[in-house]
Amino acid sequence: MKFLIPIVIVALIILGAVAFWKFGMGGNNPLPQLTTQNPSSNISKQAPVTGNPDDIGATINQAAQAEGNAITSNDESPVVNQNNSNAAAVGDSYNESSF
Amino acid sequence: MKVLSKLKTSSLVVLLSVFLFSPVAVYAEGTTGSAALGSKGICGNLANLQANINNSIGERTTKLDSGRGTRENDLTAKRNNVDKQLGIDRAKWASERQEQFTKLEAKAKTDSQKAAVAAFEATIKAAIATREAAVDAAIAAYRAGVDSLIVTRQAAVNAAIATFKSSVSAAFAKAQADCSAGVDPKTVRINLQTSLKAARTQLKTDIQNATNTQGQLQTLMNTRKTAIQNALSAFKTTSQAAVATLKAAFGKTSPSSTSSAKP
Repeated sequence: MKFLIPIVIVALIILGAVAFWKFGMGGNNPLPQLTTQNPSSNISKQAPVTGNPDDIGATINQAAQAEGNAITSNDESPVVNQNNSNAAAVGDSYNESSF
Repeated sequence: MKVLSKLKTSSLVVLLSVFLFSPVAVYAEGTTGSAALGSKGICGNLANLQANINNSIGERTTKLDSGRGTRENDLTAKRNNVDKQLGIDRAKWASERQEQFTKLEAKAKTDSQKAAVAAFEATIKAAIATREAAVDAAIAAYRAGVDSLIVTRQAAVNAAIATFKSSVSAAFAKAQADCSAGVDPKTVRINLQTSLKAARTQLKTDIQNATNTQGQLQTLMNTRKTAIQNALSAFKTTSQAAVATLKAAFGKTSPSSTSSAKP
């Protein structure tokens, strides 16, 4: 029985690593596409193509909302603020106390 | 023998003294210079120190320029990606909308229903064009604001670095002048350290102020969000009114049931 314990531990570690890779950081996309931020891909499911005015209204309003969500969630701040530390680093060109 | 012993003792004392006091002689300021300054002292090493500092500043400003180029490329790539995806999504939505219109057209049997459908489609297409134009304008305004913010920030950073360089040069010029005037090297060194430290502190403060743009970026995002919400709200009002008018044109029954109605 004792020899099974390390095998179980190793199996759990492998399972954990696979789960992390699949659902954790490993699967993240640094630049998410608009389609991942909006429900546009579900429009056809939510509003069937019947030609009924209500379905048409739902179709166009869902698309409008998806467009709005995609644009308002787009934040350029991370890119704008990248490499900000380079400017401050110019001040580290010397250490006056060393001379 | 006694003389020899005394000689040995004296030699030992001299030797120990040399070992004991030689670090003081090497590191003493004002005579032979500190460890960092070598044997020339502060006044003999000013040019060398300044050259090293200028070289280091040059390397760091080059890195700063490189980082700016990378950021510009990344921002352009991000925007292109957004534009591309928006184009794809809009084409998809237009296709889905057209499918609905085609089905709707098939349901219109009477001239009044056909006219109502035509008016409905025209209204919706115009409303979508208006909404998309408003969204595009909001995106453009946001990007212009971000670009302007980057330019302003870059100018402020450049000015801070220019001031810093000027302060460093002035500190060394004063040190050189003091050395030439015979000021005590210890005083020259302390004054130089104080001036350089002040220049560095000022630069850090200026850079911190210049790069503190998160609030302005958030304001730009909020402005864009409000503009888009207004555009969506106007579109929703128009589209709901158009749907109500269309339904009225088809009577109380839904268009799906009117498909069997006689023209």
